[in-house]
Amino acid sequence: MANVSKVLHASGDAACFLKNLNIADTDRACLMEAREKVRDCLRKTFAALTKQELGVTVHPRFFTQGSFAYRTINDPCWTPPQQMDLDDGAYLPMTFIQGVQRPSVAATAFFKVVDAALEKLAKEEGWQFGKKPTCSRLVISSNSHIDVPLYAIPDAEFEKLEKQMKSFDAMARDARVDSDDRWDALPSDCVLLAHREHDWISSDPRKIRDWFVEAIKIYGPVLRRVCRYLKAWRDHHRPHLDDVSSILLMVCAFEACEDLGRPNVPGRDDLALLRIAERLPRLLEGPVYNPTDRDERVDGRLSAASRRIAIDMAKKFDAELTEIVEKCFDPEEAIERLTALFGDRIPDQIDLVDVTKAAHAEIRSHAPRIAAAPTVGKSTSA
Amino acid sequence: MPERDDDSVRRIHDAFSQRNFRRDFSRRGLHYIGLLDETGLKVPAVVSVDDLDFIRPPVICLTDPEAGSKGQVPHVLRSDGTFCYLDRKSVVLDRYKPAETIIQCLERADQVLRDAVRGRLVDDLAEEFGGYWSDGEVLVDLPPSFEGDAKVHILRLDRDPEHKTIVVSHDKTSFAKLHRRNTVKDPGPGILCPIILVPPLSFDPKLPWPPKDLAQLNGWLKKMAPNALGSIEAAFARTKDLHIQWICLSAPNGRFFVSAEIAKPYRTPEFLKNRRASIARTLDRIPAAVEISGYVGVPADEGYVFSRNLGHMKNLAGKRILLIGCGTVGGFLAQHLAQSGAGAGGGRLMLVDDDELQGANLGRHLLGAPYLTWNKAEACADFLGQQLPHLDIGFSCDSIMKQLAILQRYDLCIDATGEEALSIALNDYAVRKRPDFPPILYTWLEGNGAAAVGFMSHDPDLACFKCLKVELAGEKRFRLLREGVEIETARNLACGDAHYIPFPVSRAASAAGLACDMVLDWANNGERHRWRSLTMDHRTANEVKDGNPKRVVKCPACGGSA
Repeated sequence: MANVSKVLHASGDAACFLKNLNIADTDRACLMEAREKVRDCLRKTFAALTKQELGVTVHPRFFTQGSFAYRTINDPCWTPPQQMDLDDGAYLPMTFIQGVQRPSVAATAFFKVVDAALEKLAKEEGWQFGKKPTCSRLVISSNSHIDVPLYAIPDAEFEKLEKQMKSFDAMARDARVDSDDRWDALPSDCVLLAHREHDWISSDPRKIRDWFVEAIKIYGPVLRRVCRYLKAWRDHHRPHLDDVSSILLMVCAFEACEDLGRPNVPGRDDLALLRIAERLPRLLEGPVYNPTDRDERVDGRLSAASRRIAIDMAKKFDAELTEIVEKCFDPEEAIERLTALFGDRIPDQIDLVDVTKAAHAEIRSHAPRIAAAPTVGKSTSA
Repeated sequence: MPERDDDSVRRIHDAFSQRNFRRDFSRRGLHYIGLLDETGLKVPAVVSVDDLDFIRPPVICLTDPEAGSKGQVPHVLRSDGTFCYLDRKSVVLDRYKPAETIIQCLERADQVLRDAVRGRLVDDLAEEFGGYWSDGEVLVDLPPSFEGDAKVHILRLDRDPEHKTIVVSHDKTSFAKLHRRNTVKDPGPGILCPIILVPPLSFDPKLPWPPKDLAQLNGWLKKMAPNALGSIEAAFARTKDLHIQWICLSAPNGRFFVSAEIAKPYRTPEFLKNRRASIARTLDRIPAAVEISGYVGVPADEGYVFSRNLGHMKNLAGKRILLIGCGTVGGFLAQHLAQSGAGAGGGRLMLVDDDELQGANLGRHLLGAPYLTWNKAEACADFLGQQLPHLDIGFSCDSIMKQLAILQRYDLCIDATGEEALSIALNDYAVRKRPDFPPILYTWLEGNGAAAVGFMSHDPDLACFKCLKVELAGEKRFRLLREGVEIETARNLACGDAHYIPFPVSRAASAAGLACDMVLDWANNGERHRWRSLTMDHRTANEVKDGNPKRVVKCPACGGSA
């Protein structure tokens, strides 16, 4: 039995897999700088355009979504072709697009403006510009890109948002918070995403983010770390697992925790990962629903063939991890096998593997069953 | 405390997981979806925890209120499926045991649901019928047993011209006084509303609910209250011109009102006037032309208002009570007495004071700025008359000493002046008029509100007011104030305030409470101790046991020489 939790995650300065997955500070700074340039470019574009078309200046608002917002971003394993991805949604009020309830201007017109502006910016910055069905993409380096999806929201909500931003901006002077990420006031059911082929579609990235924030509240940061290990495992096994999306892995990890029950989710990262890996093949069989919308499936993109491969590889992953954690007594072998699973960012340090402590029988603790509180009648009044 | 909240959220999640409920992440906040009574009825429900302090219990909504049952389940509000499984007014939940509390609530909901479906809560259905009948309310100023013709009045009980209240009464209602005061107009004659006694009302799950027109109403009445069938039609036939008519179904489980309105296309003179006599027959043919709305009666008759809070005790209705002094203590006491029914049921509450309300009084008087420069007795009578229009409250702006003869016309006199000389004079008069004199209750504060005292004098064998301090300059019989305590008096010449004794409003309200208790004991023939005190400032006052002090032989008022 090998306790490899310190190989995966350690506090302080100690080396560990998770630290090796972190993106470099220079890369992060580079991405942030590029994000600001993109935002600036779009602010100027829309300011000029709206002044000309509407006589008033409309400032788009931005909201970072995806792994950057969930803090599950990993440094890419194989570059190229894998890249760090920063999703930065641009939001505009509905009447700018000349509709009150729904935009009357086709999303393609909206994209035209944004594409033109960003293409120009890309040329100036030496970036590559690209088009995806729901966004414009700027490849800023060999290992990173920024995606800009476009959203429309009703004017009243936009105004509310502006007000909230202003008051929040005032607060942010004292507290270091990213003011662009305050979106509590905006109802989810009225956010529309521009799509190059399907015009406008209902879609709100905040719901998923809120779900993940709440899930972390329930299961603790170990859930976030497990998501990152799973993504690293997926990335290491390219191209076989390319169709397994990050959100699918995150939902599977959450569902596995739900299945275990919070008191049974181990505190040790290796055991938590193992418990989740045990459930992964069955979960990947599907269906896997979006936790914020049970009518939508997050495994929908998996073709039957990719699914078969994913299930097969998840089974191997579970078997291998079980071997390492529950049967291996040789630290060197443990490191070797972990490296085969996750790649060479597993630190080559046998001292991080503890086979002595792990040899002690693990006592599975079962949370006591919760009994109902007794009924207590009121004895006070006013 | 966000950290503690996070911990609560985790424990709540564990509890729901144990019951196989899943968090609903499609909505903001803590919402869980699952099955109530999961091994039996399997009723789908959404449980929302919006108060981690559990002052409000989690809200349970049945997503399919009829699942597992045959028809309506009691405790489910028809509007949104909210399931009332716990009476928050009777149970206190433990915010320090969030998981156990969730399980407690779910188990309780299971139990209520099972009982409901097995028909054990048929009585509940009748009890809660009002919740299903309507969202509107009608004030009912009628005794509970009333049967026959009543009137519906639309009244303005406050100054807001938009705010109208429907009041049902027999002939005149005391609430009309308020309408007159606010509009300077008499209320109209009112709309006929026959009150019909019916058996307990409930649902027939097979019929549409709630009834929206006369046909549906009659379908339901046929099953539930056959004796009321046709009463809407009959009411229409008895009145002229109106296109609206009311009836009241007075059942043991509440009074339920039906307002019937003839639909617009039928509001023609031909229909409403020329064929009025035969309107019942016409309506029979076109029952869907009459729209039905339901209202629930809220009792507001004096019997209910003044007895609701007294449990088994009798209220002061029917008693004739004279209150002398409407100052700080007297003002609050007048309100306490009025709320206990003084002036109701043929009784009378008479207020006497010859003083006016000044700015100096505002900090500790019942009344405020609107009554400045009013005579205090008149002002208190006016104020209480607005709050409780049922009552007969009189006032006199003269000194009681000028009208001593009226004292004997009352069942009880109360001296709340706190003026020792006046109390001595009243006592002297009372003692001399014995036995043809009612009991007198004296109430006052000692020191700077250090203690309150109430003393009831009537029995010739027991002490009179003067027996409590035979020599004016001598020692009091019951020494409440501690040795050496000096009474602080104040004087603000610049403000026109002569000498006065400072004490906070709370002490006056407590004294009024003590006196009101003694009056209620008197009305319930349980006078117990005639002399009672309430020590409020233990630094300056002692506690003295309540008792029934005996007469003092050398008392100049009631003693041997008197």
